[in-house]
Amino acid sequence: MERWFGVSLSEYRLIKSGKKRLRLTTPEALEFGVKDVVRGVYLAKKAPYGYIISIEGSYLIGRCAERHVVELAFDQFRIWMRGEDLEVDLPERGIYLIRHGRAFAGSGYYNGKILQNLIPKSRTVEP
Amino acid sequence: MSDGVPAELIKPEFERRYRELLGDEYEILLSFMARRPIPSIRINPMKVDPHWLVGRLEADGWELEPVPWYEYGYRVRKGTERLGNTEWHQLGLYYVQEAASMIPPVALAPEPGERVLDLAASPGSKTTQISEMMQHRGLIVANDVAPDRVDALVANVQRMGSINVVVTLSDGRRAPLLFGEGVFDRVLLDAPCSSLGEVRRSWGALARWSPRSVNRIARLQLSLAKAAYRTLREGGVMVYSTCTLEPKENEWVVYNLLQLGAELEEPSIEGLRWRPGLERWMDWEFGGEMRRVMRIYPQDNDTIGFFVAVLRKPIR
Repeated sequence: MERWFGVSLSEYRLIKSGKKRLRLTTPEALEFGVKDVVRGVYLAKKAPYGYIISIEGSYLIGRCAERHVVELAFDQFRIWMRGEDLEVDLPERGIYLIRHGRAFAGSGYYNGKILQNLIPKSRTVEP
Repeated sequence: MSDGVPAELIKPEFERRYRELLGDEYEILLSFMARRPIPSIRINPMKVDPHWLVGRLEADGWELEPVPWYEYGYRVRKGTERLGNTEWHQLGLYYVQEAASMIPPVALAPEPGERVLDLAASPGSKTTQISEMMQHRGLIVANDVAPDRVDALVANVQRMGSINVVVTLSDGRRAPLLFGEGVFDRVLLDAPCSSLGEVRRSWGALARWSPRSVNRIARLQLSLAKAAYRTLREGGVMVYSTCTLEPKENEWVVYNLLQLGAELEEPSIEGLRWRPGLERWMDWEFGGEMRRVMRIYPQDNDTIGFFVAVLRKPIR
């Protein structure tokens, strides 16, 4: 993440969740000894082409990301939030964070032609 | 729900008790119970600049009015039909939360870096508000007892990005065993209740109301309140709240906590109209201390009904 987006989340603590997922929490929440259902928030999932960043991860990373962030116009943003892919032109293949103004909307995978929508269905807007 | 509460839902004992409690205001209470509450939202300042979002919503034709007692709370005078189906909601930029439900976290006044317990936390409106007030620093243990309720809590904690939350699934009465005694700086018990204050949302609570059901739930509330109090450190603050107006579920529980040595704090919440608690009710004498607990009737602020008490565990 540091290499791809130029961001460090050193004030928080990363937790491995299963084989592929990463969660993020505070040092105090990590250290509190109790049987939990979850700690902190789901941040990212490993995929063959990089890390899929959750909506919450896009906020934390996007605010200070130096690269690989796509700014969408409002009309495109609305389409994106319905869970649809977008045809855009980006400099290189890989994972991009999505933003509109001060709002971040998760991440997408750019395959050279299409920005594939990686927002979970439960977080999209019904038409 | 605008033509009045159906007469068949009002049990004679309910009418007798609430006429005794409110006198001439009983009819006003009923008229408010028959009105839908004004929808309201709580903006998440940890994800978005509130001014930017308010500007965006107003550009979409929304009319927002600030909630006086919470700086990021807004009543939606005009907006969309489905507040839970917008881009901004799905991104966790706001939470659909009744304005009165924002009061307990304000009364709790958590600080960044503290240890906080929210013992009956689902669906997470207050947990996520507390997390934002703590600027996502420190620790919140958010507990609930039923798996399906915990699922809703987990989803909302994720959506609002509440990084400092640990979600647990357990019977809150076992809290001192599970979490330890004297562990938390602040504890919120927004207790399960008969929900009479929520009649504006649904008449179900009125249909289910009976003295017996109130007594049964009051015993559970007291067990939870005692457990919550034991987890509080000396000098720490505990908020006990319900969305009901029943004295047995409110003053009676607080009175019993005072017998354990708890002290009532003077509440100070700007812009909120509230009434002092009952010093006596039916056969019970709760005492003059109850002037420090907040009874919030629907007609006081045009919200759902609420009860809030702020207690401190003295340093020995």
